Amino acid sequence: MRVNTVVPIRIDDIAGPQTGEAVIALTNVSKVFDSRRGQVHALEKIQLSVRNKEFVCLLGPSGCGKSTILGMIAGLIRPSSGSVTINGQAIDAARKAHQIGLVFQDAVLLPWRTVEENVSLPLEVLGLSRLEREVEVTSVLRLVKLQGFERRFPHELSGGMRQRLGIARALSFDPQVLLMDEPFGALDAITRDRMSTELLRIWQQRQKTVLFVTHSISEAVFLSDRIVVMTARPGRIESVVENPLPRPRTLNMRDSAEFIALSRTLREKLENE
Amino acid sequence: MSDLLEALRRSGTSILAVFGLIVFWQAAVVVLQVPTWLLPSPSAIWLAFVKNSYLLGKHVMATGVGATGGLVIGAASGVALAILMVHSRILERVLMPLLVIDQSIPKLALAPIFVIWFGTGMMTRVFIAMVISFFPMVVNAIRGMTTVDPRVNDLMTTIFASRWQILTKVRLPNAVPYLFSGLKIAVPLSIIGAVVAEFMQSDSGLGYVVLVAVGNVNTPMVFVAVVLMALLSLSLFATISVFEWLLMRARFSYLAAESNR
Repeated sequence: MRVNTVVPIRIDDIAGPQTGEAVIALTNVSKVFDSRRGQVHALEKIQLSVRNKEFVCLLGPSGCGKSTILGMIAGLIRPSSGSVTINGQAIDAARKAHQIGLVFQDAVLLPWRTVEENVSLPLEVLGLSRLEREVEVTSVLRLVKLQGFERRFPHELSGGMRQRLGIARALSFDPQVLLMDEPFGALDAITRDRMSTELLRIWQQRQKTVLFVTHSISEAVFLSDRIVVMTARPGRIESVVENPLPRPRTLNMRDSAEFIALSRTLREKLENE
Repeated sequence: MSDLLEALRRSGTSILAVFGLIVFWQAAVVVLQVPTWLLPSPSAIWLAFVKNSYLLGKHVMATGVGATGGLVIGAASGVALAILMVHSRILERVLMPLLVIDQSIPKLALAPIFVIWFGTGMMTRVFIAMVISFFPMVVNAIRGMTTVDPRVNDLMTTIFASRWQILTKVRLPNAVPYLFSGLKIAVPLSIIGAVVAEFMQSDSGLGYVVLVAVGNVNTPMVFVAVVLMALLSLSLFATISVFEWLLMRARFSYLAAESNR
């Protein structure tokens, strides 16, 4: 039963916080892991805030703790000290309110579920009725341009399509915050470019607050409003750089003087450590 | 349909091999003049089967029902225990050593005690078959439920999924292929369990047929019973394989895709 449903009007802007307010806030967050050789300081005194509807990239080498930050915001890792909040509330409250969407590097789909069933998974957990689920699934699959593939299984899709599906699943229950952990890291360069453009379109359409982890400078520059540069051992925020590039972004902008200048600045910051 | 033909063509060689073995057996017995009480020829076994076939139905049923019942109960309780162990650290720590001990005990050696407990009827058959098919089910169910990508659990955690939801939507579906492997290991074990129960003391079943035939030095009849046990095991195995094939085709074709790579 697939009817052409009208995409429901989203009214989250009315209830949610206004642009400019901090949605994600990390205050004085440190993380110490106990290992056999003693304590490892994964993160030290992290101060970070992400405003409503902002697109922020966490940029740094592997081992700088950027994924740990994401894990703490998702409620998967407890900080050793400091506080992590979403809309001023503790993470558990945000989880209960289903405000967090997660996207992983290699999609992490359930292979025995079809495309539409994968998208439907969070909606089932939330307890939506079959009809409500169908409406959401149809609308979000159209958003990521996967309509026509509803009955396919993940292994029948290309890498880029699987990643679209991962994004669709994360957006299906309309969370305010989207946490993305190197989502395009495993894709080839051409698919990656296409997905980046698509992601910006989706982000603008659905008005999400995005925190995007990457170790690619050009990806960070292309996507973000702000870039948080991190250094490793211990994980620290080196600096936060505003991205002056205008929107909408196009792939050609990567040849512009501004883009190249910002890339150079970031590279120097990363090399400084 | 072409799949079926292809499968038949490929299995042609195997069928030919089995047929060849039977022919060789028949020829050897005839040429070497092996007495029937020592080793009956395939034709003698076939004759014994035809002559007694009217008697055999109820014995096949008795063993089959006992083994299947034990298998079903053993599988269900095995999966139930696995679910408990996956969800509770304490239970896992308490039960794991018990399971290892359980597996180290040759359970067939306990058959006489089970006869004391449950008598000589169907109960003992079912119980031994259950006890013996239990372990492979527990082990496979635990493996199936714990080889879930940890990030799927992360995903479920961030949307506040309950343990029940994680179990039914992630862990159990993930375990399905493993459960079929466990069942396939358990099938012949359950037949052995039922037959051993019948060896102890019983008035029906293929194990009982073997005992009576040996008592009468009716060797062909012993072979008839053994062949029927094998066929029983095979048909149980085939039934499970059909269900597996249907489910795999509908839901788990990614496994075939992986193994083709």
